Amino acid sequence: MQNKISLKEVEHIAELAKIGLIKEEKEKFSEELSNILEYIEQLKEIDAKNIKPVSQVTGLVNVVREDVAENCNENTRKKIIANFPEEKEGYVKVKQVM
Amino acid sequence: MNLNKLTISQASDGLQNKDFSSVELTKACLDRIKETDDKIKSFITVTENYALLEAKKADQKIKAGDKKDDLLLGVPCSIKDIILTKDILTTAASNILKDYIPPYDATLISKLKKRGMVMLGKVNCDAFAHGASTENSDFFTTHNPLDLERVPGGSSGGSASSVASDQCFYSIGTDTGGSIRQPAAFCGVVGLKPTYGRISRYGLISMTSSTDCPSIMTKNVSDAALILKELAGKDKLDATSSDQKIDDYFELLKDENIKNLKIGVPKEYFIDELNSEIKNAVQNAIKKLEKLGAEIVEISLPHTKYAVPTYYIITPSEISSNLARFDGIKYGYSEIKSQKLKVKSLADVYLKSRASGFGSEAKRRIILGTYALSSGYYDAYYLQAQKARALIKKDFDDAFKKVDVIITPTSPNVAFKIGEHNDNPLELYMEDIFLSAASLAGVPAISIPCGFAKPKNGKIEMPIGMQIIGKHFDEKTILKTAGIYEKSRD
Repeated sequence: MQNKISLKEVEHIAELAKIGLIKEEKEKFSEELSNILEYIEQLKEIDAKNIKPVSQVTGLVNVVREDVAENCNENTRKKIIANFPEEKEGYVKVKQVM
Repeated sequence: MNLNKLTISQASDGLQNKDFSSVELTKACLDRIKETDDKIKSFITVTENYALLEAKKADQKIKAGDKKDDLLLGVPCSIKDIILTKDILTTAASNILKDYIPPYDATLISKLKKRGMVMLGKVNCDAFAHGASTENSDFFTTHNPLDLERVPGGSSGGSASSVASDQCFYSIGTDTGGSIRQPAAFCGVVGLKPTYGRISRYGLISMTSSTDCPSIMTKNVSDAALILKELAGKDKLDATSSDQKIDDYFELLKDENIKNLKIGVPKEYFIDELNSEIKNAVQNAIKKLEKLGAEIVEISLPHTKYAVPTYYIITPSEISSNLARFDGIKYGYSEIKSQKLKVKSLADVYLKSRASGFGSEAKRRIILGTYALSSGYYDAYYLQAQKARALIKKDFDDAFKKVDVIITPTSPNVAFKIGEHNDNPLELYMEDIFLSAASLAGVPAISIPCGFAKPKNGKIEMPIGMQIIGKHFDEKTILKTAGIYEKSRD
């Protein structure tokens, strides 16, 4: 049987998600994810035309705060910078984009 | 006396009466860890010196005599390695964070520190809490202390094994779709998942932001009650945290009258797939509560069967977004300097750092989530799942018009063998069958031990868990029900 998510689709999604996958992983995921999706298909039997989707379940609405920057103390700042994989003068250093 | 076997209340009483010191309690736990952890493997990091230092401080405070109400003062605990601890390695049991030292504390850690926390170390879990057995940890699998060939459950497996084997007095973990309740059931301890938003999520390594709940693992119900009171509350650093009234859960447990309590028993949770010994144990427990005065009402939660498929759309979708932050640029494992991999562009850094840093399950969920959210599939999967979630929530809303609590088994089976479900991720997802509905609805739930059953493929009897689910922010009633049942077994 053909997999619901083809090898090509796995490659495309991995590219979107910025994860490098080796050939074996792509093959494994194509099969496994197809099985999982097949199981999930049962959600389609729900008649959901008139149902409002929900993501927040405890009734909170629009929790906002003043948009003010708070200073970070120097010690914490140093610890954050210490975690940068590559750093220059306190800034994150990245590879060329283009 | 084995000091490490005490409950929090007993330990706290002993400390205040000067029967023993916090240093002695801490040493008893550290000895127990040294003695047992090469086999159980609860801990990723043991913070021995830090624990002893904090224990000494606690002893000084107790000597000064001004902290009599602080029941947690000087009582040693373990913390799931997905909760940030300032200056102490926090890995999420993942390779991509294997060297990560957080510059700040989670809110719940700050709160515990104010109460004189003695942290023994950081415990194992499935990497990024993706799993139900700790077999997805990128480092090693934790073993069930009652039968070392079996899993402790997951994802908070190290929390459960450390509490069940008396390596510590309590553990703080997380529950996103059952990750505290199922391991509590598998190891025979108490696991409390509060209402979504009851305890601040600030400083958790995010998995599924709309269902992640910091959660509590203890040896008995009253210990869970006293910790909940300390951790609950609105936090300006977590917009989804709640300012609903916090009860004195510990004091309220003294009320043992359940004459007017209505217990709902949903038929959808007593299905053929349920192990018959577990079914009997839970039904006996319900009968016992009936004898003590509660009224039993048969109810229906008709959308129960859609909970797992809904959860496995919503969860990977949120994961694909939350795990985007691990990019090899800001912190964590990076291939940015790799000569061997010929990392030349920004895209290479992303692709290669994430390829080496994430384990199989994280990759699987990121891919599945990205697919569910991608253009053309969004309506069919993610939107449909959010609608199903609305129906699952409504099931609970309707049921709680008729009853005060709902009782179900925590898991359809007792702890399985390490490796038993290795070839099939879907089998592991089915572990959440009785757990994910409460997570999706955001309601509180507790798992407490209610007997033992012999697994089909084993000789050692393993613990059974009973789940008590409550209304939003009504932790006091599930704790009360759990407490009354627990006492009836003594």
